[in-house]
Amino acid sequence: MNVLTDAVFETDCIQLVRKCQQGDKQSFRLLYQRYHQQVRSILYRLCGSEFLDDLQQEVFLRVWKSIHQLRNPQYFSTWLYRICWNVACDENIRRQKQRHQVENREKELDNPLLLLHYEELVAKGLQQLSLEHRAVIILHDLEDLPQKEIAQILSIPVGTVKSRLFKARKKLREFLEKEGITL
Amino acid sequence: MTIEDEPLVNFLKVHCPTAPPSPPHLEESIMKAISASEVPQARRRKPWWWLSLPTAAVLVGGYCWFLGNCGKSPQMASGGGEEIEAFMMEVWNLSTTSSEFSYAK
Repeated sequence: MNVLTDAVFETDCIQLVRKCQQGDKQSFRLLYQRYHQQVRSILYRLCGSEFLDDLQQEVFLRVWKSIHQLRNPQYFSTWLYRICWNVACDENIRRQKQRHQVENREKELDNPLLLLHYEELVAKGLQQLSLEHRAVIILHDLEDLPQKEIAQILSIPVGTVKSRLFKARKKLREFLEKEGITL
Repeated sequence: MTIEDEPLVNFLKVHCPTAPPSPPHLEESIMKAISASEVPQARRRKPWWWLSLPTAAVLVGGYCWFLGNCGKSPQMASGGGEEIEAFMMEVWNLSTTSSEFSYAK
């Protein structure tokens, strides 16, 4: 039943993408409603809550502007993840340029009063990873995407996905152990 | 995923912070921004088609230039046939006499 539902969903999505490619804004609105929470969730985990609305808007604007270049609508979700990744990378570069903002953020995270819950620990653990390592953890362990698709999204070999996943998990485990959580 | 990784991944899944919901105005704001931007083209034009244009222009231009300068079709002279006949006779006679002299030598 799930397979059938997924197939209907995919066909429907392909139709929406094709209509968007012809400039149909109503179809784009439907596509937005279908994917915005997923996009928002990934951007939030990659970049945090700062400028989240702006980043979400940037992703969907890029989708609209370049959707006519998508040759295979069946790969829309992979393509969408890739745009999220590109926007997150651009945001990372922008933040690196504005170092004082990052320092303020680190000070916030260092405040023990904010680290009361596991959620905050996980958020901090993810933030201390590099963007590349964070991306594979989010896409693989939290979004449950296969390694092959992650390799396509990030434009890296599957072997690199595996090695980054191994290193990222190791760093996260070490971080959590340091914070008193043994897994 | 190895057995060692399972507790970590489960911990992350359970305790990973969820994104705050989109503010209600964001969808309209994005749709407005999209309306302000250009409508995407239906299909990207193929580059080879554009590349063939200047090539064709060069070929056609070159051919026209060739026709205008070198490629004129041969035409018969409209007048002066008698003059040409006299000229050819003269040249012929001169050539035969000069060759006789050369043999004599």
